[in-house]
Amino acid sequence: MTKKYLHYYLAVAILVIAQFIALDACALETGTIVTKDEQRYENVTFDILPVYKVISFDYEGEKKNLSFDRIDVIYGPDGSDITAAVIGGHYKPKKEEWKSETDTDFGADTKTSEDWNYGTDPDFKRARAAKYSVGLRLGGSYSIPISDYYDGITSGIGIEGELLIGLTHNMGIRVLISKSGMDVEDNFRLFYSVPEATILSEEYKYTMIRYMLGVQYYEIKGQIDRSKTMLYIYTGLGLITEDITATVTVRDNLDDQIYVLDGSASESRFALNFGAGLTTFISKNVGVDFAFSMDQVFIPGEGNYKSTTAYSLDLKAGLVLLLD
Amino acid sequence: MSITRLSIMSLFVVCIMLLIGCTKAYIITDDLSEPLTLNQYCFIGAITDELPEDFEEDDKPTAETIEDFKTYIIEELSQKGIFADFPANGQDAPYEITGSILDYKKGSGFVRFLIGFGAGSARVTVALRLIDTSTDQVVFGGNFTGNVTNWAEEGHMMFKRVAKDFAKQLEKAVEKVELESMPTG
Repeated sequence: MTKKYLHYYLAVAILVIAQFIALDACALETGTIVTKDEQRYENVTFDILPVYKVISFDYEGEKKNLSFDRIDVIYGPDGSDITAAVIGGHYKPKKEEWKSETDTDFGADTKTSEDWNYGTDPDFKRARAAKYSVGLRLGGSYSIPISDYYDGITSGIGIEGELLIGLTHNMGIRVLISKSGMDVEDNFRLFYSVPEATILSEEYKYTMIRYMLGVQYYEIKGQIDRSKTMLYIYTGLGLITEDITATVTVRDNLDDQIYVLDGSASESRFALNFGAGLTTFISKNVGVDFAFSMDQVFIPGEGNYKSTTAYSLDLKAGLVLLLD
Repeated sequence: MSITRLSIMSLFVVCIMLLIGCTKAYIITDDLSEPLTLNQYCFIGAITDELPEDFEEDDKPTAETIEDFKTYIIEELSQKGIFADFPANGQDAPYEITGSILDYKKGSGFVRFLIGFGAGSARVTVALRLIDTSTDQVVFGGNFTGNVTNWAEEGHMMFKRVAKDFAKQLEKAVEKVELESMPTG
């Protein structure tokens, strides 16, 4: 073997070993196989091919591949039933019964939904909308401040993104990051001219960023691949960070010098929120979303200021992408 | 060529063949031995749940998915021209196709997109059988696997692949048996 080709052979050897480890293809057993149509194969040595769910063996000079679902029982060399050990749970006969994504038919008999024993009644065919595994929501929101704390702050349009994680058919988690559109009012003023100085201009900027984690309850009505609507309500908690920056241009009346002064303040607040919405799907996974939410922000007291609670209302619209 | 080099080359070829074998998407369990009567009706029958007993109900394919799968089987077989039609009810159809879902993983398109490298992949293993209804015997069958590893593909593509492979293998078997049954000389 020359060194020139050694690395190729080693790479192939590693690949083959990895394949066999992954496929578990070299599982040899000996036993008697009885099929569901009562064919019997005595004392055969068989390969188990788990990827294809097939048992492979030679019988009377012929290669036979038996699907797991055709096997009734496999007896080991000592006569014991080794079916479950070889093919797991595939060997019990099953029917063509698949849960519908949106079937709300509780049956043609007189039973009402209250009569069904959810989860244990074998005849119960409960409607189950397909839950999602993850989703993304991107959109805008019109934020409206509605408490005294926000005096001087006006409404505005912001942007937000959410990660949606489906837990069960009705419950999920929402992780929100948003930049509120609220900003300082145009006529907001903090400073006034005095004999010693003239305020030439004032510029203020208010930024609110929300980081919220919540749980939601949702219902999906409609069928996959057809019109589908998701209704949801949610509640959560998190952090709101507020930044105010101010840039003030001042003229010193004594020496006519012009100064530009800037400063900023930043605070983080604990907040709760709750909201509700409706998503109308325009395709299997993409929907248009409309929602509203209310934030309750807790402002601790400081000095002469008592603690207070501030509220803001958001009206939202966006696009949702849900993935199975 | 020295014996050492010959042995190594042979091992190399065997390894390549093993790799090819391991990655085939199907295995035939019942090969066609007699010619089919072509241009007959074929009924797409039951696709049963043969998933393990401890398989979570929520993780199983839905009834709508199974109906779509049957549609894919009809679409693929229609292109092969083996059967005349696929009636909605099974009466008087000389052939019937039945199947069993033996393994299923729905996967996640989001995870395939975000992580890749096989994460979130979807797969299905289905046993499909063509039955001669006059004798109730399986005339052709196999276990077929379908996978989706690409984030750009939706999960239902794995069922389409299974349907395509089944139709293709049935067509090959029909042609092979017809060739073998032609008189020689």
